[in-house]
Amino acid sequence: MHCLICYKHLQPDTTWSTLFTSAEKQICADCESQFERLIEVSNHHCQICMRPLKESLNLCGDCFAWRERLDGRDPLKRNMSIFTYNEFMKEIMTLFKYRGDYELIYVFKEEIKQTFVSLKDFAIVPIPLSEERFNERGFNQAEAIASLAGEKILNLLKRTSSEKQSKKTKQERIFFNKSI
Amino acid sequence: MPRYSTEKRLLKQELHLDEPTFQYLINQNLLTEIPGIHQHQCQRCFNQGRKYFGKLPSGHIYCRKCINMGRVSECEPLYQWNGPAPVYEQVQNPCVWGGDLTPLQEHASNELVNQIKLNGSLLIHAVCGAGKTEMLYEGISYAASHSMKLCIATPRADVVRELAPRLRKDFPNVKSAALYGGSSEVDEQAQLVIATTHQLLRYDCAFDVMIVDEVDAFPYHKDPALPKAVKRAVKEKHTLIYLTATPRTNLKLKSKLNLIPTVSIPMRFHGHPLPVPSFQYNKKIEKQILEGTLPNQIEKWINDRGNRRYLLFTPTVEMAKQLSTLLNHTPYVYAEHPDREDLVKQFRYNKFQALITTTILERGVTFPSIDVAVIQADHDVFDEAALVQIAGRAGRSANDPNGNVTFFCRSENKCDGPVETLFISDEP
Repeated sequence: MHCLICYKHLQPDTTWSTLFTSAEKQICADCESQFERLIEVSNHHCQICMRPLKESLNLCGDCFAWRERLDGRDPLKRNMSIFTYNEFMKEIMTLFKYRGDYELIYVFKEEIKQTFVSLKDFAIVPIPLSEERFNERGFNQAEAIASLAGEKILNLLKRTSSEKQSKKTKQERIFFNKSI
Repeated sequence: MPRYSTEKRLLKQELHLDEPTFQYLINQNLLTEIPGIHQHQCQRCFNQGRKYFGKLPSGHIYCRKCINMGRVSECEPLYQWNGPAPVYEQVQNPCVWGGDLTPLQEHASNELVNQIKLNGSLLIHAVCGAGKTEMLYEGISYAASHSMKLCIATPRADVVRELAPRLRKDFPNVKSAALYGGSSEVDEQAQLVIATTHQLLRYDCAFDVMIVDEVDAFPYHKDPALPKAVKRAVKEKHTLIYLTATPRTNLKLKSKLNLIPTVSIPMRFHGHPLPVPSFQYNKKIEKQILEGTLPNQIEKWINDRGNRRYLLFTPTVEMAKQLSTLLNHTPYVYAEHPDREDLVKQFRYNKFQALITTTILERGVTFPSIDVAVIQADHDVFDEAALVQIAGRAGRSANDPNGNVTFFCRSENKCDGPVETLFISDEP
């Protein structure tokens, strides 16, 4: 086995606990240590979007503003994030999404699986990708991540515009849909 | 003829063609499709290692090794121009440089032109600061005036960035392209290409003359794909020139066995020898820096510089960072530093007195009148070649030929052996 990120040879360390779980290491300890988990960064988060927050607050400024704007009819109940978007994650995402290095998805396999274990009554619906982008990349990144959960995936949504979100500013993303 | 796609193997998106034109060229057999992966080998970067291949959801295999140049896969082939070969200009008197060569430089220069006429090969073994670039001028002129396409390839992007503006100034009428990861230029039938050896992975049967500068530098000597890329990038009839101050064993051996004609230039262009380094020892140098104290010797060395400018080489990025904090945030650079290009430029333009760097600036770059220190010179990353090259950064101009070169080492015995003898034997 080799680290999926830096290709270093992985020493399979067999202990009693690894012997009975099927979790196989995909990356080396050096690469692993460069990811930051949100729950390690802070123990208090925004109840909707999971942004790290001061102890005295329940909602972050953005989620508070959304609630005001939508008068309590916000379709987003809750966002769950696992990692912070640090420099290392940025690099990995660039490789994964823009260069199309699909294998990198397995870096997150165990983590995503574990997250779904604790959830009940849900349906997995990935955000679709424009046909153009799908042909370029060869995969839908949301579906790729969803597939790691090991649950049934429902493709219920259809895309009406093919503009790239990543090319827009925060303001443009928020006010794209004028009806809001 | 799509000008940027001749003599190369490119992905569809790199062709920049609209769909009807693309289809037309394919139907007319003017573009040939090359399978991206053939017999478990990437047809761009020669990768055969199993760990460097990935699988798309469609089941197609793709190459992870060269994915930063765009993805090559079983369903993403490469394309090669199959129409008439481009014809290059005969540029009359292409060189406007007015300087003179020393007799030794002239000897190398003549030999280079000779080999170009013969489609031969040549190793130019010249000490750091011998004036290697100027030795190439006659050869470049000969190629440009005989409709040849010439490439100067080097493993280091910094060297490309330094070389390209110089050559453009001295060869204003030769169409050129400077290629490195992240450069915005494309080779639209340029006659003179200055590129990193990695960029050669996109070429196929392109060059009449190939000059590989700093042939012993990382990653060229470690990555077998790069010499293969050089071989594929040249035409069947070609001239291959290697340039280095510190050839590795295989090239030394070839030269000794007369398998490759060799010109040796043991003297710098200004006639002064390479500065001999002085050594200072401190067992705790690494520990002190990483724990946040500046070792006294280093502090003293820096104070002794006065107004002189200097480079500090560190073995690791981590130490560069720490040292920067200890030295009032002196700028530091390393391979992946986002502002690397800009910081080196600013140092070149005298914007600050000192720069901390990893081995990325060990070679190929000229800053006039600087001193250099190597922190933990007995660290594994500083092999013999690296230390000779680093010493070669000092005393490069004729009016200031004696820079100070100091190696800070942890242990005495490791330092004096090979390093000192190397410097002495390298003198003319």
